[in-house]
Amino acid sequence: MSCWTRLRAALGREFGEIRFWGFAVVRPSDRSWRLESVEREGSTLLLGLRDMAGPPLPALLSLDRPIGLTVSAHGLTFERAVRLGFTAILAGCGWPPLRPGHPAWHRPLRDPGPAGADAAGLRRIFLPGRQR
Amino acid sequence: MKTPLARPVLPTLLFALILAGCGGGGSSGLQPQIAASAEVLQPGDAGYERAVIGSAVKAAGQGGVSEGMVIRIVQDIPVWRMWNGPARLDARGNTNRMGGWWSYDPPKGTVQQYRAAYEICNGWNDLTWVAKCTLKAGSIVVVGPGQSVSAQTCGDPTGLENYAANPVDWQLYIDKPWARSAELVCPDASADYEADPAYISASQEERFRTQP
Repeated sequence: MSCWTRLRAALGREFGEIRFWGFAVVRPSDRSWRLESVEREGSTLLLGLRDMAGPPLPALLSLDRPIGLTVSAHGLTFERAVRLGFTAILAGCGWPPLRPGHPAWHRPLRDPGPAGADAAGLRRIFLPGRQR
Repeated sequence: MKTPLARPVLPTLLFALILAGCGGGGSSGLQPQIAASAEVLQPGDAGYERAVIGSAVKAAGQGGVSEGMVIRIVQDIPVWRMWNGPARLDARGNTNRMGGWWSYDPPKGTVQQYRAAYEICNGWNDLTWVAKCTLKAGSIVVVGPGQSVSAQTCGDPTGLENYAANPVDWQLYIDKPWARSAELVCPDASADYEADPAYISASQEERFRTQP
């Protein structure tokens, strides 16, 4: 099954976390995100994630040249991408809308991140599935 | 004479602490402040799955709770949540007033003490406003002691921002509270107060009035 098909099959799934190399963008399980759209713009993959606590306007998680997609019961994982962005990243929810220089903000994704982030499972862009 | 009283009091106090589990509770395992208001459910009990305990209990360094119990509330209780306030809207007009993590103990101390007690990274929540809602009888939620949060989870490349697990200040996990308005009843946000960072149990206005 192609990556594209697997991603499309994940539409409608909900995630309680959004993690970049282990960094939790929002407090784990405080919110819930639903994958509402999967689009492609050139080499960039755009994932529309709706914050289920808010109005039905999805935020966009963009990944330039993503590789290593895994879709499983544990969530949705990309091993790597050249560049990463998260539009309107919860400006009102604790995360400054623009924080240039932060390791998770539009950062080239070749290196494994902060010390220790190269442990298995953390060198990833990870949207864990909601565990029961 | 106060000295002779110390001996009988000490064993009594120790027994009480053991009974309370130094943060745990009596026979139910719940903390005393909630034990009379909740009953513990076991896997297989009706409604157990609604708590979604798998979303609450997390490994060390990952936040959430270190261990959890699924409880059914048997009488209404007040619950608290700190948030960013009505002025902090995201691009979609949303606030973080509603979310999964709550406490049944009212906020106390300073913002920094609260942040450490409930393991809340700076980037997750400003902790500037306090909402008080009611968790209604019949609600099924998870309760447990807070799990540690690593600097990596906080996204702090310096490694300085991290929080230890806290067995004392337990947390409530209410799964998808925005969809459970009959169980978690909140007044309008205008009833919330902006906390004094040095004394979060009081509003800034109250603090101003009481200070000389």
